[in-house]
Amino acid sequence: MNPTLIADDFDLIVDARGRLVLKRPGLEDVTDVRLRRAFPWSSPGRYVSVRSSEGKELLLISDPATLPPALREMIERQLRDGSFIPRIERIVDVDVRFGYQQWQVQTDRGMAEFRVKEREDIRFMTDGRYSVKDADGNVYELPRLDQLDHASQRALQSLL
Amino acid sequence: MSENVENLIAELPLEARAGLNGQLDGHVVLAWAQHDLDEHNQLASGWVILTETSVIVQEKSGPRAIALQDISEVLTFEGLGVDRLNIIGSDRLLASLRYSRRARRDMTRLQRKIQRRLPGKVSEISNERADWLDRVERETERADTCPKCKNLIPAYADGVCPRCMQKRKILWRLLDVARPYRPQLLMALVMTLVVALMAVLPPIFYQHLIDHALEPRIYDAVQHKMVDLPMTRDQRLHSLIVWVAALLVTIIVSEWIGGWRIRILARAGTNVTRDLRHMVYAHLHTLSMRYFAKHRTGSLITRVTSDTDRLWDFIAFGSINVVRDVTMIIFIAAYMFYANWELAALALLPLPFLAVMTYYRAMKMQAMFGRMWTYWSRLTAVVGDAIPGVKVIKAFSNEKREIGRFERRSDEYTAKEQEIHIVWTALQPIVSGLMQFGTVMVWVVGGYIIITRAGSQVTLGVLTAFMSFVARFYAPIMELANSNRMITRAASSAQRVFEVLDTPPEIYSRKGSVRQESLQGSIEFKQVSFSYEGAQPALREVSLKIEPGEMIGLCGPSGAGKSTFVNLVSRFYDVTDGQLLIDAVDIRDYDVHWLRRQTGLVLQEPYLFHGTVADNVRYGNPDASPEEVIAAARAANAHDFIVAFPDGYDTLVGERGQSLSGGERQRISIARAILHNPRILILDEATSSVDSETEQKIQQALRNLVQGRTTIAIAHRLSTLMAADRLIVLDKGKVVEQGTHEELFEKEGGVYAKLLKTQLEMNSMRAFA
Repeated sequence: MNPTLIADDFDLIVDARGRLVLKRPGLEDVTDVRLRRAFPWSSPGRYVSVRSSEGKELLLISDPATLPPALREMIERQLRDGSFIPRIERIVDVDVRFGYQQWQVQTDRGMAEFRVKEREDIRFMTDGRYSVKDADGNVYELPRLDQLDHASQRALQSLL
Repeated sequence: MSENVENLIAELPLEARAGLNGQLDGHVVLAWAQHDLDEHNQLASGWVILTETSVIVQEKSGPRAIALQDISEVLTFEGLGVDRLNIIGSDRLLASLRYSRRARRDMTRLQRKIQRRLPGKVSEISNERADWLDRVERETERADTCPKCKNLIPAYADGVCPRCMQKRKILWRLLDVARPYRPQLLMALVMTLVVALMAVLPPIFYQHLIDHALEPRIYDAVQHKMVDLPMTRDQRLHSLIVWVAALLVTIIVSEWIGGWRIRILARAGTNVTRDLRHMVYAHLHTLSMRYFAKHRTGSLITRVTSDTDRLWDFIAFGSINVVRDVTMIIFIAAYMFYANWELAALALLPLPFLAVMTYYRAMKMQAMFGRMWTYWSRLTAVVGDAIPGVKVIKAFSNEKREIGRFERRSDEYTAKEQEIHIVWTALQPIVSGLMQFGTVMVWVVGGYIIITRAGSQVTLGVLTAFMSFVARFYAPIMELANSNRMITRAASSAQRVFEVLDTPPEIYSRKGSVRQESLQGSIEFKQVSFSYEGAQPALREVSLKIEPGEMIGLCGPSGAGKSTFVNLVSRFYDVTDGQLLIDAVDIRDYDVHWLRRQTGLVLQEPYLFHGTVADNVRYGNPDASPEEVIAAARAANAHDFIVAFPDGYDTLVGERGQSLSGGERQRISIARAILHNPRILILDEATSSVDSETEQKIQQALRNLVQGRTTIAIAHRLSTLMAADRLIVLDKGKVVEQGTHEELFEKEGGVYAKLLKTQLEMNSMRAFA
């Protein structure tokens, strides 16, 4: 297997200008690296790709859980900071109108109201979750239906 | 020539031997073929027989022998439906035999055999191997041929030729599919009979209600007339309660049973349709590429989905309802005749007319439904054709014409639909009218009897019961007439479904097929010829050997047979003639699925399924871990751009998914092939050019892919051609040149050199443009 799949000795720090710097022994520091999840839906906790600002992969962390706690926390924070995919926790109302749907939901990032243009924007992920894309292009994560309360499930009945 | 050649005279058809007047006596028969046209291209029959010393040609004019030493060459010429076998002497044409497509395979084989035995001829393959090849051909023919219809018997049929099996009635076959649900269906049938029987009861209760409670009269056998029954008010009320209660119980019980019956049936019906749908879809996947080339996608989709669905109605309700209706008719008619045969005969007077009429209508409608389906599939074909080509339509601004095309087909379909509606709606009032005519007759005659013949057994109660019976009698008849439409529709759907199920797979694993531990990956073509249906041969007597791990570049002008070549190696088709060996075993002797797992395919237009990128990479190995997926994607130079997608490997691709560039799709499909890790790799290189950076990345990916595998690449790019260990140049179905890029490029006037020079000129023109 490719050696970079295994996270060898490295460190990530944030420099004075707020940029993320990758430090590896014996190699030059790389400033302004980006973190990306390779499997953001199917295994969000694993396979984090450390990339240069040009999009070239420098390192692939197969399992951040094996890293020292401080480094792990820092990676998680960076990933969280860099993404906005609210998880829907409760559905207040879904109003199906002509051609679009108006969703009113409670998410882990607060209350949200958005418009979904077409049914195709609600995508079924293989593990039973859904991703919902609104008219502006924001993506929301909808957990498996059985993890929602009854009122929410009822609201979705005609859609899913 | 070896002396211990097999004399095949015993196998020579009698018909061929008959006209030879003993010319074969003392000769060894080696091979023969039938030619079926005379010199004016009229159908005729004649034979060509090869013996150890001569070729015996049997024509209309009689047989003649041509000594082998007089022959200098034997050639075949292909024309439009008629081919010729020319036997040429040292200075003149000795014989020219004409034959149609049917005889082509046998004649080409014979030509090869004669050619091999001509004195002074050096054969392409040694005699020993050629004899072995002959033997293989004969054995395969003998083993798998149905003695009755001479067609190949597929292995799945267990030696019973499906074409010769007596075709059973379609609807019976459908019930056969329902076999696993026999207990439920039997239960439903019993319930149906009970319900039908109970339907006879209410009219009898009416009769008693009237004759015992409302107007108590009884037949006095002594006076031979009806007399009023002396009953008190309480007695009459008591009687009323008893019969009403009986009526109520009947209604509740029969509706309760009826409800359960429908539930059981609906459920069994759904299960049967599901089974059928699964059967059809699974069978579809056993069918060969040839089948899919011939059938429209739209028509196949209809067969798998709506046709199987339409059968639900029939299985759930149609079949059992027919039983119910028929038994009800019998029960009621029997009771009516028992109660009063004169009134019964009157009431049933219109019945024969109805029966005859419904029967003929049904025949007519069956044909109409079939035609309607044809129009429907034509309609769907327009949509199926237009949607994938929507870009072209828009570019040519041809929307109006496409809409027109659709509407024309749609109008045609509607017209057919309306024709059917005219037929059955015309039937409806006639059936209903006749039925009411029966009622009127009963009123007239029954009323007349009651008024005039005081001594008759016909009471008001009997008449009321009769009226009720007549209504109940005609209801199932109406139902039958209506379900007629459903049944004919189901029958035509069933026919199409069974059409798919009855199509034998052309490519299949023989009995005792081979699976091995591993594959070396050597490929050998031995005198392989192949032709697609009714077309000119796409490959002609190709013989070559590919070593394990070798990378072959296939090139040649379009239509040269490159795709056919790889189609045969992938066993999408079986050779028409000759033999294709993989690791020295006939490709047809391997288990198809095992062999395909050893073979990888990277298509010119990579097909990505609807699903995530990761799903597509692990298509051949669904259990691959994320690490393996990443490793394969890395080797294919795809990892970087995949992780750059917002959803990474979880990005949806395929229909309605993320749009990918050609180079990206290519690399994902290469990753798929790398993960699949085949021993034999087939690469159909895209002709379209990509920018040089992408090209470089793809080439790098390909280098990783072909590493250590036998690779056959249909190559267009110079870099691929140069990377190949050996190039095989095909032209008009024949191998015309072989060698490395350098060797062939230097060859003066060679096909490859010419091809490449033109291509290079084109490229430089493009570069300067």
